[in-house]
Amino acid sequence: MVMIRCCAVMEGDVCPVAMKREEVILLALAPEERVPHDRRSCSLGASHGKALAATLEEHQNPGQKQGATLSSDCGDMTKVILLSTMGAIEIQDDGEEFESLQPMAGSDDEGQSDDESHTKLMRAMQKISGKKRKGQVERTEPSTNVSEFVSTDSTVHIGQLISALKGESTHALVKKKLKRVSKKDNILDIPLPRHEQDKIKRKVAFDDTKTEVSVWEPIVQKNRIAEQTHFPLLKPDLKQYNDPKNVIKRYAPHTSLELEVENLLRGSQTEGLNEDKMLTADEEKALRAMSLEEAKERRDLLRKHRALLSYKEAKARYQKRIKSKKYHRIMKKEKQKKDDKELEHLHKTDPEAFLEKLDSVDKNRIKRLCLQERMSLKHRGASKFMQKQARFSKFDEEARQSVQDMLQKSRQLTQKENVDSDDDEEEGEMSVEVMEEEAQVTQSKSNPWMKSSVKTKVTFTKPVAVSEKSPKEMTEEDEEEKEEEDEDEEEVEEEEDEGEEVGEDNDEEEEKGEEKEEEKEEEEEEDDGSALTESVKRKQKYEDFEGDWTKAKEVKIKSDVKECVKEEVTVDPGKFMTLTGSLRGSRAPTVTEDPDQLEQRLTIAQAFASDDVLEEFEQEKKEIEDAEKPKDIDLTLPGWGSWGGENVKPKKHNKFLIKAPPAPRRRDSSLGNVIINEAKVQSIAKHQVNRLPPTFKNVPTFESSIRHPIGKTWNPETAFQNLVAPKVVTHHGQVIDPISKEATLRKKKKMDLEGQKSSGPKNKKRKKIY
Amino acid sequence: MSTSSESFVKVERKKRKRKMEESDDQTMSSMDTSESAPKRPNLPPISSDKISAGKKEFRKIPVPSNRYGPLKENWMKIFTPVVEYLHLQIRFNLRTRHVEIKTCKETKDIGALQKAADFVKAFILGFDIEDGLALVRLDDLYLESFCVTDVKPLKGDHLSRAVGRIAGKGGKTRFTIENVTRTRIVLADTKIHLLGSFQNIKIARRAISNLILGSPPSKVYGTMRVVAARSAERF
Repeated sequence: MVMIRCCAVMEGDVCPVAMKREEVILLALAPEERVPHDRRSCSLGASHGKALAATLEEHQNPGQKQGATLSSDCGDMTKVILLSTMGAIEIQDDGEEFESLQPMAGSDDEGQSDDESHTKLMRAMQKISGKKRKGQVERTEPSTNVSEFVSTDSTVHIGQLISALKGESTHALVKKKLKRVSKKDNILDIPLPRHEQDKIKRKVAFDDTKTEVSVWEPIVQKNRIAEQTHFPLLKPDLKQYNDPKNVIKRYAPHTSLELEVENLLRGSQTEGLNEDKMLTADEEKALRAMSLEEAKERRDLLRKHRALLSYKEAKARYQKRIKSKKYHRIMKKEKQKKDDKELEHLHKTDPEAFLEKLDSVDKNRIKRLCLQERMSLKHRGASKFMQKQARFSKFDEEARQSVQDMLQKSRQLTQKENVDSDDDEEEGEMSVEVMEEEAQVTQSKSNPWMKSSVKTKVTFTKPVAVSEKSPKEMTEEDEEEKEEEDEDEEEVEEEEDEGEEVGEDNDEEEEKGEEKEEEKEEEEEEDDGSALTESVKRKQKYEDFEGDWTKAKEVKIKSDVKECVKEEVTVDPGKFMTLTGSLRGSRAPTVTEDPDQLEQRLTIAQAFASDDVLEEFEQEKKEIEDAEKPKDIDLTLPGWGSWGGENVKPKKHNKFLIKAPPAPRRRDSSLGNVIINEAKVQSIAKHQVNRLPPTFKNVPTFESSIRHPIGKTWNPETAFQNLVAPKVVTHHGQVIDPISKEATLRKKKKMDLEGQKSSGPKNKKRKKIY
Repeated sequence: MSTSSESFVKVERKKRKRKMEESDDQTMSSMDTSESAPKRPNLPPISSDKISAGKKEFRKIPVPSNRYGPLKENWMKIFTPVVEYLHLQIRFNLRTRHVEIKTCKETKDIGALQKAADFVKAFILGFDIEDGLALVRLDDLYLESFCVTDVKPLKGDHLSRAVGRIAGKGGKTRFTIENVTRTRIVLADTKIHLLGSFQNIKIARRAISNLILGSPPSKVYGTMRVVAARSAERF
């Protein structure tokens, strides 16, 4: 509330009042200009929320007319014009009319009309007074950003300046000069400030370095991901090194022999084929010697031969690669037929050759058998029959014999043949053979290892019957032989059966034994079950087994159940752990006991009578819990903050006490019979990771990879070797040079090119997969 | 010989002594002992409490912020000797950051308070606890402090060089002075604190002053050795 004593106009006086609040105040402060006449009260209602009341007080000198601002021509009418931009002004006049002037508040051109009215008023005032007001005319608010010079938009051009010289003698000259100057466009711009320059330079340099360094990014990435890195990274190009051309270049003869050979080769005309030339010197000579047609013929022939050879080779290679068994079987049969035909043919034409051929066929057969025997374990005691026979051979003559026979057969079949050499040798060398035989005999006497070889000669070399049979018959014979062999085997099997029959008595006995065992097992199982159920029941009824116990003392109980009961007697019934879940699945060891063992048990139970495992366990658990509970830290020092001395009791300061946070709930708090060690185990923590290692996308894959054991026991050897392969391989004494940009990038470029060539369709495939 | 012995005159004893003897004889007869000590007034050592007439003495040692941490760390090492050997009361005033020591009923020695104050002061200045304990145990040990600029008004690099001369390479010169003069020296920027007996402090101070004034360490060693040897001979 501002009280203003002034601002009054009386009797037709037209006075500018309160254009703005400030003006009101200003008016109020100009005493010359106020001429109070009547007591009036004027209330100014400001729209700002503040009510401005101006009380117009009439001074006590009504007669005194001051200043020139007064004029009385308005007569009795009291006219007060109060203009306010703020609000309504009410003027009260006693007995006279009220005039309330609503200011043009709310109209759009408020300010403008205000100004207009103001100027009008001022003019009117001037008319009245004939004087100009000072100080009040121009009132501007000061602003902070006032230009020091002329306003910016009015730029002065040189042309304008020159125009001032118009009419002077130098005008034209100056104009000319100016034109010349303005024409020159090659004037450099003002250089940028230093820091701006540096900024730009840095940016450019950064971009350059970025491109330069980013070249390495894929290489670095590759090396990081690589499972194994061999140093040095770049290996010498061995392909180039081992190229035959280069090898020859490097080769120089050193020894005399080499030199000689070298000379010979150099000298010869047939050898020393050059790569660029088709023919050797000798061949060329021959060609020269031949007539042209002859030469051509010969060349064509050679070409044909070569082509045929290559075809044949290709075919053979192809056939060799065929895996089909059927195909090979057919081929074999065809071959067999062919051979038979040949044999027949031979039989007719050349009987001697035929015999030889037969012989060789027979030998081949034996060889095949021998090989088969060596591969299989048919006659070596690994079969079930043999094992059985061996068991009974102690008692049974026949069984022993059968075993012997089988071993013998095996030995026979696997015997190395010395016959071949004999056959091959000619009669001229007989003396030598005899000598050898003699030597063998002498050896065989002294050397037990050689005995068999001598024997074989006797046993194994069948004289091949020189029969007149047709080759077909011969083959039939072969087949028969095979059948015979099969029969032999069957016989052996029969023998097995017999052996079983022989051993039936034993078997029966065994069976009886087994039955007994089974019975026993059954009994034990029953016992098991009963024992388990009993033990579960026992917990609830302690009295029950007391009764049992007394009984047991009287009658020496047979069953194990009651023994178990006796065991329990020494244990305090109050301390037990409740077992939840069925005990059926658990395998309690079942022991059959006799009274002696029972006594022993009792003594043991007495010996450990004071052993209270449960209580100990609980105590231990409690100790561990207490130890792991966080404790308050007391930092009080005697004399620190308060007097300390001999007979001074130390004060307790709470500010030196750091309270421990409440302990988190232990995981084993609800589990009665478990202690969980929640402390971080250093030895394990060493092997744990904080974040996902690179190359792994998510946690489950990493965990699965970790779960897989590395050891040799669980992996094949090769996989194990791969798993434990070191990350970095360096060789002792090898210098590892820093990675060379040229070589690496060249190699990469090459690879990229190759990749582009080959991986066009591949890439498409890949996309489908991912 | 006999004549000469006869010629000897028996010297009379002084009266007072005889009187005492007589009284002794009287007591002896009752005590039944052959020897007797002259009777002396029984004057037991007056307790410090009585000397001060019940008035408690009080010392305050300010602790600068740089020694606050070490003080807290070693507080028990300071507290125990002050309380157990010197029988004083001690506290660290947390608000004013002063170590305050006062006498109490249990205090037996008047000098204890001064000793304790010196001990704490030594620690605050930067001496080791063990060196400070020597102040408590021995009587003739003193602390002395002075500034490099007290010896010669040095400024800037000259000042730093002077300090460097005192310390030597890796503290070598300081150790040498300490060992030869049997003192302890603390170099805290331009302030130098010495701990030792009066004579030793004097020799060390002389050596340090010479170093400050600019004489080479080798020369200072020589003179110091001679002086120290002479003083050792004297005592």
